[in-house]
Amino acid sequence: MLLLISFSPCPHGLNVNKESKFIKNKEWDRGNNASVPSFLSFIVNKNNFEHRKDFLLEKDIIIYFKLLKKEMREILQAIVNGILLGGIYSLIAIGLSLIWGVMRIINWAHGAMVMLSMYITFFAYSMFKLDPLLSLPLVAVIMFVIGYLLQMVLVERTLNSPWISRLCATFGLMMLLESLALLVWSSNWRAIPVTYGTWTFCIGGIFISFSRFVAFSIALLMALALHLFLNHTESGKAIKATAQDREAAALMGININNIYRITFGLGLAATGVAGASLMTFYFVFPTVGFPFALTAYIVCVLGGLGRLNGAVLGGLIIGIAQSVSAYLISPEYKMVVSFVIFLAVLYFKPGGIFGGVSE
Amino acid sequence: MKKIIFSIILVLTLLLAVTFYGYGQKEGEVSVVKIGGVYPLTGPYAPMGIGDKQAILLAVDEINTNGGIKSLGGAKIEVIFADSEGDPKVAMTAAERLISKDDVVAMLGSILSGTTATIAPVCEKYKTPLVNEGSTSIDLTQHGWKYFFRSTPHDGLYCEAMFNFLEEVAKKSGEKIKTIGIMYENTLFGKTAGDVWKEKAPEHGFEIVADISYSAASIDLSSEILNLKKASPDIIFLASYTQDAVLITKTMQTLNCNAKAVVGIDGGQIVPSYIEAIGPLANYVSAEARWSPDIKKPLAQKVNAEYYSKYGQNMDGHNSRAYTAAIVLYNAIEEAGSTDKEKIREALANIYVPPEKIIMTWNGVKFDETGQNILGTPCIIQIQDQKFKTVFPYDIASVDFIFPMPAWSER
Repeated sequence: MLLLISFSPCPHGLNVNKESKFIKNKEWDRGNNASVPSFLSFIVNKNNFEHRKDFLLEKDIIIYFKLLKKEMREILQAIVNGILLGGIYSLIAIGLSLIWGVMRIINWAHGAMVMLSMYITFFAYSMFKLDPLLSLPLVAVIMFVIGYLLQMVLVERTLNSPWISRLCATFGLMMLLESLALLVWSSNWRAIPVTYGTWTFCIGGIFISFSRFVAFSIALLMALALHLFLNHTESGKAIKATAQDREAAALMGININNIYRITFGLGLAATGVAGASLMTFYFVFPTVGFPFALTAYIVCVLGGLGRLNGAVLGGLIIGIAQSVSAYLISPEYKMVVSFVIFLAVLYFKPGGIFGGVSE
Repeated sequence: MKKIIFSIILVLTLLLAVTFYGYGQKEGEVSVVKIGGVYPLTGPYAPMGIGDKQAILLAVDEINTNGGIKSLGGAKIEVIFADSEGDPKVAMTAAERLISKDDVVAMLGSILSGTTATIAPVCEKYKTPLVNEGSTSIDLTQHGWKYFFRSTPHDGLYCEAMFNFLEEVAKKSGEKIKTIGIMYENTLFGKTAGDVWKEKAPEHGFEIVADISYSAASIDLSSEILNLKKASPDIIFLASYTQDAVLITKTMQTLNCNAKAVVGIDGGQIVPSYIEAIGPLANYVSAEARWSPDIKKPLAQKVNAEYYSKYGQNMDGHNSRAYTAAIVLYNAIEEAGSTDKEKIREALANIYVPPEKIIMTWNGVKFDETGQNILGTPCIIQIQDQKFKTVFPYDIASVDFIFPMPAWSER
């Protein structure tokens, strides 16, 4: 808590003059419980002000702490917002990270996959009236199948070619999917009017959106589930083995191609979960994916490419950095601050926080 | 005998025909006045271009059936349309062709500021008056063009009009309005609005306490809204597209950010999909609009009904202004009583079209020396019961403006 106070810019230090001006600005504050009590309103009056300096000082201290409390609450709100936003970033980054970790492929079509899964969720709603949270497992299964097939017919064939071909294959896939979506579904954006879309709960003056909280929880649960799957099941161990040493795994009788198909499918299933959760509070249009994917790449690299815990932590760091810097400095600076943190981490730990899975 | 009667009738008929033929050919008389119209009729802007074309045709039909241009002996107006495809270069050649090949006496066009900027110099070169109906980029009237007349208010006037609205609201409700928080997306559209607001607010006695620009493609606007909440302005001004407008309103609800009024500029908040996306959350949000089908103005209702019966749609902020531009040009030609382009220009420069003759909410049409209509005003709509209702100007409003809007906790 003390740390937080030192972060606060304190525009209203104990300087009496400044302080009073600050109160003046807050005069019309609606919906703010900590507004200035009416018996103190004469402070605003400049004529009284000069004569009663000593008296004002002690009153000002009381107000100062009230405002400090309000400021603290707002900073806490910014941190909570950042955590929830970070949850969304992690959610989207997990699928990407998994695919890289096992296959050493940067899936450029990741944004398009997010878009695709959001559309599937939307159509599940518009055709069968399925709530996004109910259709979530369905979307994950469909995306798994899509991923499995894509690996079989497209990615697999480029695995042994130069890296640029691998890159271009998924990049071409992204262009194809986005153009097709534009053609078939038009550029109109679509949203699902979920009933819980406006639910907000308030804990100690901190407002939390229900659907964002759900998305955050899903991110954590999914990371945990994937972690358990990779470490405690036969197939999971096979995937890990392949990730560690492809040739050795093949020699041990692991069907590498099959493992890759399952991994790509799993990566896309995770993306499908992300897309379905996004639809509870966001909307879909053909180019929706790219900004999400861009953040996901950064999150992955920051946490360590191929590390699930890295994807979660990276997402949280970027989310909190953006939210808090936007609050303390200015929203225009949130990208600057998050990228400075990103580059600083890469300077000291080039492999990312947890050390990336290298080629 | 029969033959004689037949011959007489024949001769008389011929005589009559010859007389009327001569009448038509008499010097200074014309039967058809040709006007050019450059609009994006294909491509991404086609829906707007076609709407404008339909509105202009409706206006011209009405003029022609009511006796055409009376000062020209009932000459009919004919509008020759050319497709700009929304491309400045195509628009330029289309304008050249209309003026030099089709001999149009005046031009209408062309919705997009980009295409209007290339058409206007062509009209200047051929000394052909151009009445622009809806390109709102401020700089179009700053080139010193002599033949360019813009009947729509430009972006600067539209943004400034929001302050006038607040002044009127404060006067009527007795509420004190002092501080404004502005939030605008960071491309040309939003930036222009933001700059005008920042420049004009002090002149109107308002203080801007939060100045937030953001990217319309943002995934999350929580921190922006939190900053807005921190400043707790009386009024929030928004310049946003639709998806970000939805995100803003949702986030305001989540973070319990309240103001006495939230007013958007013509953009994200006045499209039906905004209400579709957030339902009751959209209530009480207001926005500036160019025009609205529910304004209480008999002429507007009549024209809109005709438009509806002809095309099966209500008019909108775009084509209502195209209709108005056609009416303005007609009035100018009527005034000039000539098809001489100089005389039409002269008439346009001095024209005054009173408010009851146009379907807009404006105080009329009168051009200053730069060719800008100085009597244009927007209307303000508020979303009530998830429907768009005109609330300002008061004389044409269909319902009362709900002010201050209820806080989230009171809904």
